Amino acid sequence: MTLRYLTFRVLGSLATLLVSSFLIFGMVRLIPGDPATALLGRAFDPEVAALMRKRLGLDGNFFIQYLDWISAAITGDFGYSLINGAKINEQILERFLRTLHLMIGGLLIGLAIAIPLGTVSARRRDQKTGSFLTVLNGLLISVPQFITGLLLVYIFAVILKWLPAGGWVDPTSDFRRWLTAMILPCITLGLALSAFTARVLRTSIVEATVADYVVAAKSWGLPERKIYRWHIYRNAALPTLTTVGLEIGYLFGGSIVVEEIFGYPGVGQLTVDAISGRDYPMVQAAVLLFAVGFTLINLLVDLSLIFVDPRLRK
Amino acid sequence: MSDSRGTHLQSAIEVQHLTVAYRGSKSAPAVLNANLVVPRKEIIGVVGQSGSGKSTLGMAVAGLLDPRQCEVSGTMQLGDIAIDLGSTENSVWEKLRGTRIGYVFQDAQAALNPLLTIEQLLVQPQRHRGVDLPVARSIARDLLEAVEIPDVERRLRQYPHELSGGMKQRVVIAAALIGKPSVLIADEPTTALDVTLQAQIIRLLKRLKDEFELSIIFISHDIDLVADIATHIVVMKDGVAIEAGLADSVVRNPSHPYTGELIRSIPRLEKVGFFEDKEYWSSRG
Amino acid sequence: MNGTDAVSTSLLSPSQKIRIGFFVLALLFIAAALVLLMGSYSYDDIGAGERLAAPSSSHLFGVDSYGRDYLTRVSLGVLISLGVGVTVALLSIAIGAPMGVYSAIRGGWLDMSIGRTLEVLFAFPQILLALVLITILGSGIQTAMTVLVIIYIPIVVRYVRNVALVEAKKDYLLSAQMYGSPKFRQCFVHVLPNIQGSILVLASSIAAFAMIAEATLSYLGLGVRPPLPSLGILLTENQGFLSTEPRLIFFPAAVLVLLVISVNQIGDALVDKLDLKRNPVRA
Repeated sequence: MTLRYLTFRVLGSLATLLVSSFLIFGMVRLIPGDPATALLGRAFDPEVAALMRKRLGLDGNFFIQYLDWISAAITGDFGYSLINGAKINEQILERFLRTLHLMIGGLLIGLAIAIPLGTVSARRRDQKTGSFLTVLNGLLISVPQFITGLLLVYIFAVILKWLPAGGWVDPTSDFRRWLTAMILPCITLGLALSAFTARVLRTSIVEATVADYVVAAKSWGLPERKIYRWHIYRNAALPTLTTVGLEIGYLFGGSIVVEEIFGYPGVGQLTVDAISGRDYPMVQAAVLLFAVGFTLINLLVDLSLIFVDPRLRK
Repeated sequence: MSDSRGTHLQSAIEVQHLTVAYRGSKSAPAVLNANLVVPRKEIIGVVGQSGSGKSTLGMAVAGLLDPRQCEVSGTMQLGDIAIDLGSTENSVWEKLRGTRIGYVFQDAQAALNPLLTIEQLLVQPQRHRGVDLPVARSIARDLLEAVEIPDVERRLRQYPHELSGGMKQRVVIAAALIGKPSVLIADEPTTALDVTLQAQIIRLLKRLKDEFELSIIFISHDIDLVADIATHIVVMKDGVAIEAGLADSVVRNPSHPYTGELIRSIPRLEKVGFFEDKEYWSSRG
Repeated sequence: MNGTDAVSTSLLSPSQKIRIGFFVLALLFIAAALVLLMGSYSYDDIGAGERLAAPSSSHLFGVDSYGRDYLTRVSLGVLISLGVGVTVALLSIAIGAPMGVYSAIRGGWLDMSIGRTLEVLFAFPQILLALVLITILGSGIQTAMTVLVIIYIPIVVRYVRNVALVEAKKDYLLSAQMYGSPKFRQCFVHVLPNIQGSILVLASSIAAFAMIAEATLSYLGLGVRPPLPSLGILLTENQGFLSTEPRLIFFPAAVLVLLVISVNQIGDALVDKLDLKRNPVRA
């Protein structure tokens, strides 16, 4: 069954990527009117437009061009930007690594907030502490990420002047400044992640506490502390892990917002600029990269579940 | 004085004036003023249909009810220990659960944590009580053999979902015996099983009673089954023990009409239970 | 799961929460509408006052950096937020709910294929779908709403399908089936009215998240186009004045948070009141 589950999940991920890549490549053809004409605007020139159509993969059979595009993409070749003419893969790679730093920081901070928040609000659910934390959790869910970000900037950069309001510093030239500039973006990203994770964790713990195996463990003489550690937390970890996997997908979206707030030159900002500037090849490359990352991470989470949940083994 | 000492020596458990009410519920208490005496090394049956309070009674005796959800009153003499069911601290119960009273659950699948191996499940409670790991392991092995599980070494490494239904129920029984309790509460231990397995489990319980010198409270909706295994029967209806006595005389000569009903037609009993189901009525209107 | 939460230490009862939620929403709506109807400025009137003038009796929220009356802009932002929230919730439910109910009641190959399609759709991150659609359609308020409706329809279908599947096992529906009531009639006469509560909760979640999503897209420059003032636009436009004129950030931020919290409060209270399961809508 493990093998079947593995095969099923891997094939499923490949299918998702296939559908995604079709959509991503095909979207340029769905743009109303002629993209080349729209892009060139006043500088319209039939020869340039034809060249442009060729580069966008608009001048021939869809499937052949899709195959050209995807096979180049697999080797990391996305062609050149329509805006600055530079090689897309070089521009994206550098920015992708910066976004990755941001996401790892956000994930760590998010978990550092979510785990205690979810656990305590579940265990103290009959007390004032618990309801206070649950209300706090609800607030965290209701406040849009960019407002949290602006609030943090206002408090820590404008009023207290402890941290910079954003920007990015090359860590190899000035590690300390890089680190301080990363703090607020990572917290902003982490807070959004923690809100949902904490809620799922709380619900999972509360649901596990009424499970029969908890009453059974109690009947064997185990104290509450050990029942939590051995039975409740372990079972509550499963749905939470799946949620964290999905949340990492949302981290991609969140990083776009955070990069905008803090003027952080990552791949999210690149994507937004490319959409506004109609740099279609760049949009395609960035969105495909997001899709691959999201699918891979969720595949990894599902595969890691095999180690946690024996029912998926054998 | 010497008389009461005498009865304590003979009975494993004596429950007096047990009343359980669920907090926030406006209906009658789940158990009202129930008395129960379990003689040493005997099996006593508690019979009633669903909602009669028989399971609540078992849970109360084992100290498994959540005081945040239930209000319990009454006293219990457990061997030489006197317990106030209403005010006993959880820390006191923790020392009694498993070592003095064991509990066998109806739904073995749900009672076994799916993420732990059989060995982990059986060793953990012993480790908590300070038993060395090798000793705890060999006790677990012996117990699985005692509940007639074949191929013990392999079973110990397996997870609950890898065992059959009957096998899981045997593991649940073994787990209940791991702390060498003198009293075992078996709450519908065979209801989820088919007839053949049911007979096997009943035989096993009878054997374990002799082997481990257990006093068993056997809870079931099936009066035939109970009459087969128990020496004494208590009949519960709406939280009240309406009849008690030797199994033979209760079955042959019921003093309460309800008991007669239970005996006469077990199939019809199921139907009565169905129509009294709250959900059934609430979905109607 | 609700049983374990029985011991509630909440300060307000569900009914009180719902009343307060609706009161705040109505207050914001009426105030915003009155400002726009009775006010003497237009949202894009760049000569309304002295640039960056502080709040005064003629400009209650002051003036923005282009000389536009800020109260007027925030008010229109409130109406746009509410409009987007309500429209997206109504449209996605109007399209998704009948599909979900029919799929559940009809069963068979249709239900199977809808189930599979949903699985594929949920494997694809919504944010990417949004980006692709915006690239195709170009940014704007209609695009933003279309994108949100398209994203929420599968969520509605899945949720309503699950609720309807539970409902389909209940006796009244079984007896309707036995009497040979047509599937279509079963869906719309029997099931839909009985799952109103769940749909209402779903609507409130979608409205809240649509408001956040629209503001976020607009903040990124991918939603509502300036000079139209979505609350997200107001925040982008004035982000540079965070240290010098924090009020320009405070007003739209506070109003947006208030709107979202009110809607979420109503949803949460409905869950408690109707004893329902929370639904998994995510912005």
